[in-house]
Amino acid sequence: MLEALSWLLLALAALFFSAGTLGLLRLPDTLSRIHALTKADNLGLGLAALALLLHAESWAAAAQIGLIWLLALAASAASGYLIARRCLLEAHQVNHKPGAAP
Amino acid sequence: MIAADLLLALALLLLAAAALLARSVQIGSVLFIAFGLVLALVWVRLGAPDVALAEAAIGAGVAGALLLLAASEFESRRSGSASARAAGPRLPWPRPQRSRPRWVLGALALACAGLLLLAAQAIEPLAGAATEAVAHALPQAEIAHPVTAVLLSFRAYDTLLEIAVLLAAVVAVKAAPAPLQRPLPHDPVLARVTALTVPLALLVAVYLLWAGSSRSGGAFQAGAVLAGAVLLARFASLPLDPQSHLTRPPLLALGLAVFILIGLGAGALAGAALGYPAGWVKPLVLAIEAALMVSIAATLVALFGGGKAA
Repeated sequence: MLEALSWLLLALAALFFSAGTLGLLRLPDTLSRIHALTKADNLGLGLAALALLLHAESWAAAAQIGLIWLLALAASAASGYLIARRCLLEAHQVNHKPGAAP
Repeated sequence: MIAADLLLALALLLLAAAALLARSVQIGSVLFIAFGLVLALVWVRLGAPDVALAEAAIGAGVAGALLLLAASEFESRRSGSASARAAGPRLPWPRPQRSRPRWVLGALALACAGLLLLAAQAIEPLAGAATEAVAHALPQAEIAHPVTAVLLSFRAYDTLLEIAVLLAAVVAVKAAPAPLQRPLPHDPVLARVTALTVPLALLVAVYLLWAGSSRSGGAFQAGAVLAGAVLLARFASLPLDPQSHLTRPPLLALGLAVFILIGLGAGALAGAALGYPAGWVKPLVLAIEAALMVSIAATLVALFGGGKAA
């Protein structure tokens, strides 16, 4: 029962990762790519972490998996935001290039 | 598991090719980081978690960040204004007029790869013997982890020379003109996330140092994580080491100095240079590794051109 549930979660995780990767490859611009990648991958990672939680040998190991997921969430959200911010700044600069003064 | 291993090997080769043939230096650098992470997984599969940690932290992390930094430096100088170009670092050597044909470099690389392959085949039978010798001598070493025992006890001389090479490299780096320091824009999100991450990274660094004596970890991995924490804090303009005390010469040389002093002092008691008196191995090795961690972190930070206080 537990085994089947864990496999189901892993398959779902793989599905979300694939969807995120597909978005990264196929979507037209940076912002939509970040959108696809961060959303789908965070969910995929969460599902994979949940699947591994079911196999955890001890409460300490389970807590570590949970902490890793939280840390990856924070890092992914922050780096997604940073890339998007840089992207917006660059677009802004390109738009304003013809005029010499800002 | 064979399928997974083949997939890893294939991914490694594809990533290497993609990094080499990438359209721009930036894309190549990002692919190089991905290559390093897959390589770390390969090391895990080969049963070498210590090497995997070092590869992920130094190979993918620090080297990747250095490549990205250099790539953006090139980019900004190519497309930047004339004043920025003039203010950029001068190369201490003349620029090459014509680049060498690529096939010459390719042939050289292939020849090197062939030589390495031959050499690797020649040492195959020795590797098993070394594993056996380490396993045999481990009980006398008083260090539970074989990798640390090899690095700091059986082959301490090699490690000492490695640290000396690192010091020589960082002296050369500090002699070169520092790259242009661009003011980093303050970003509240980055600052908050970094304020959360940096203490965790410091904790991980100390843990890796402590763990080194009994399981995977050690000065190199801990130093790389410590350097990562310092650099992250710098990029987010957090006041961790704002005066760049870490990259001052005394701290850069600390590892080598402590290593030599303990190697000679304790070695005199033990009767052999770089030896340890019985019963004192663990504290002495830990002291050396702590000093090495600081110096390795300082060296890696100095590589980012942060040597001179702004």
